[in-house]
Amino acid sequence: MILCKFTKIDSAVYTPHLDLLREMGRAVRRANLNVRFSEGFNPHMLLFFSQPLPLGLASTAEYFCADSDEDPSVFADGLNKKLPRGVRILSAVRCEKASVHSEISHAEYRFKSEKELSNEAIKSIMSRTTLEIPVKTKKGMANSDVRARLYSLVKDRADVLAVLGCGTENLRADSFGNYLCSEFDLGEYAVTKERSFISKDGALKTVDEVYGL
Amino acid sequence: MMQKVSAMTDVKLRKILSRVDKPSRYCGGELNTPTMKENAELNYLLCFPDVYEVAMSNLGIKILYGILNNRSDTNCESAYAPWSDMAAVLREEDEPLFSSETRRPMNEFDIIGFSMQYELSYTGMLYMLDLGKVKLLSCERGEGDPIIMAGGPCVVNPLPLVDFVDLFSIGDGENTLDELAALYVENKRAGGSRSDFLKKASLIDGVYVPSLGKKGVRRAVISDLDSAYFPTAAQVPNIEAVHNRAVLEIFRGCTRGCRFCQAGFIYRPVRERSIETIVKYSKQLIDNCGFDEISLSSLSTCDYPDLRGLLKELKPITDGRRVTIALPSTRVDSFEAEFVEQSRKGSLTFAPEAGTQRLRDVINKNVTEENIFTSMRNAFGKGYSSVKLYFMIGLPTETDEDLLAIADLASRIKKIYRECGSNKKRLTITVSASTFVPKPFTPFQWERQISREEIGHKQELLKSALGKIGVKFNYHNCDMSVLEAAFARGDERLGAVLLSAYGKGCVFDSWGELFDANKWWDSFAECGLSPEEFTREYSEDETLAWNFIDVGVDEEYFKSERAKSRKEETTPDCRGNCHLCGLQKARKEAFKNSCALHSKRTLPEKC
Repeated sequence: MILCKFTKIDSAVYTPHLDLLREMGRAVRRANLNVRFSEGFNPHMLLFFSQPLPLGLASTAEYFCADSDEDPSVFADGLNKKLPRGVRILSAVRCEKASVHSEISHAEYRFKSEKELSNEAIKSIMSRTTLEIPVKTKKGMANSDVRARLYSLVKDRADVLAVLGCGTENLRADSFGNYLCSEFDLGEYAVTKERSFISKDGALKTVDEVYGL
Repeated sequence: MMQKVSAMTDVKLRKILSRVDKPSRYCGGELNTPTMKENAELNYLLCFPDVYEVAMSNLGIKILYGILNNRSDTNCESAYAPWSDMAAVLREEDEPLFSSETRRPMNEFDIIGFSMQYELSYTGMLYMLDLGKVKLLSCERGEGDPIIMAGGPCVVNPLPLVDFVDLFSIGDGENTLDELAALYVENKRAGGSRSDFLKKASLIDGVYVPSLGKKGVRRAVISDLDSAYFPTAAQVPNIEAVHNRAVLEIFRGCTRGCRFCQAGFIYRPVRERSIETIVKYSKQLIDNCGFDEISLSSLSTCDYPDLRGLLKELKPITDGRRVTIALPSTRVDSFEAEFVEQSRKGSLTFAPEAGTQRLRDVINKNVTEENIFTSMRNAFGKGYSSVKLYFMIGLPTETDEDLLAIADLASRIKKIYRECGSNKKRLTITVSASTFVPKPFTPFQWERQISREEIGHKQELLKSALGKIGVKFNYHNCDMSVLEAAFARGDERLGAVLLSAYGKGCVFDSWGELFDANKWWDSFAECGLSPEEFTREYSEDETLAWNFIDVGVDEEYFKSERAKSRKEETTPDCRGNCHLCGLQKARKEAFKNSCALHSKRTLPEKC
């Protein structure tokens, strides 16, 4: 198994998850790399992806596993010659399991907005015990208390860095961004996911640290 | 003329795209998108008047896009019809429709070319021009405005579009577009005007410039396909297209001569790619595009002279890369049993077109019941359990008996399945019946189209007959078929109808749910016309509006074919038995390279 870390930026932020999967499979074929196929009636390439990124969000910390015996760096270099704009393999390592994505519990997002969020606003948000915000659900918009899924919120120069729940306790970065910008009148904003975390012994470690990427 | 360059900024694009469904239709960045040159002298915008997913499945525009971008003096960008949500946002933001590659507004391009593949996409052209802030009417555009071009199979009868289009490219576009680009650059360098360009362009083979009058125009024909450009590094769509596969054109044209089929006549003669070339291109397609399927495309793929030889060469390569081969347009009589064995057991598609042998003889679909049944036996033996059958209703001389024979055919196929089927699943048969649309440049170009009432009656008849035996039946909206016929055989008067219908909001007419027949019929009435004027039987004595276009096949040949149809006489495949349809005079070089090589019959000396 090979674990790859990749970007989804530029125009690729608009590529839906399923199409990204398809595109990665095509890139493997273009690069003539060996990846195993499932057995059965409709064999498919054994690629395993982390959970979908909402459409329009950028990321420099996406992951997938490929069931392949290729050398990880050969695999990454080969793919990079055959990927569309905005999708780049940043690093690749051999790993034992295909389910790395299921361990990811949190992710850090960078919010760049037209106007700066004040330190007071951050303090006030973090001091709350509940935080009711409108979130996207399958049935449309609904209010939900997301405080437990907001892990940290800090400033990085003019930007805001937020660590939000990912996976089972998910908080969509666009829902949170919409809340920040409308509540504090920050104007338009753009989000990039920059780090993904695995919860280990009560602390958050980045996927890169855990798997040596 | 491209002095002003006002590409949309990232921020603006993000703002717009955040408000629409499927934003990747509009953001560009497809794999294999060429880098745009800095100082191109011709900026060409290639458009397809339907949504991204449909456009991205069209091979023609990929060929032309590649040819233009391969020129050192030209940039070719692309734009497709934005879905209604995007159109609303563009209008609200007062932003013109822009190109995918550099987000340049449509109205800043030198030439805008449209690919017209079906009549019901005509309003799409007006819709795109309107959104691109380009004046719709050709007569209102002048120096500094883009030149509007149209090509594709529909424009063999360009008349319904002459109000909007400055220049038509009729026939194979490969050479025509390359020559037009060279001419544009030359004219620009020489300080020539728009009308200078149009005048000189009208001398290029295949070009029709309406403002210069209805002079005879020859369809452009490339004489050799094997050496013609083919885009093996075409753009790979960002989202799933209608046809999510690589398409490789293995030959152009068809030798069968089905009398209703326009493509069978307007793409003559048959020109093939060699096995060697096809294999080479297949490898390149896998390396450059990576699709898990390659479709060996043509009008009748199983008529490729050495299909077995080709598959034998190709299979080891595609198997090694986990790519499947698809053979579209498989005729019933040329179905390859060996191929069935190797491919996925999906559904079989056959097009007998008519239910009885008599009617199949009338239309010259030279398929017998025995051909159909043999193919079915083979396929069922190999495990197939799903069959799709395509028919037409409203064909000349058709009776209720011919229609009921369709149901009979379906029940006999069921019987064969009981005898030969090797799959435990129940057989599913789907019958689809489209309504016959008489098309220009076919032996049936004079035929009437049946009325909406007749269409309704025939559909009901089939529905009940097929319902009784548990066969699924699909049929077309009759109003759409009537409109298609009117525009296929229409003339200049239809420009006003088109404009009026677009004004009433008609767009995406081929999308059933958006098609509004009443708006169309109102538009005809407002222009003092009725669709029936174009669906009636045309007299063989009248001058057909489109006959100033010379597609290469003689009108006399069409008449003789029509006469034979009434006698229920067939005309055999012209491969091996040239019928001298006119190409031998009109397209000598192409004829020599193809028809003459295949003809076993001694041809008259003048050929």
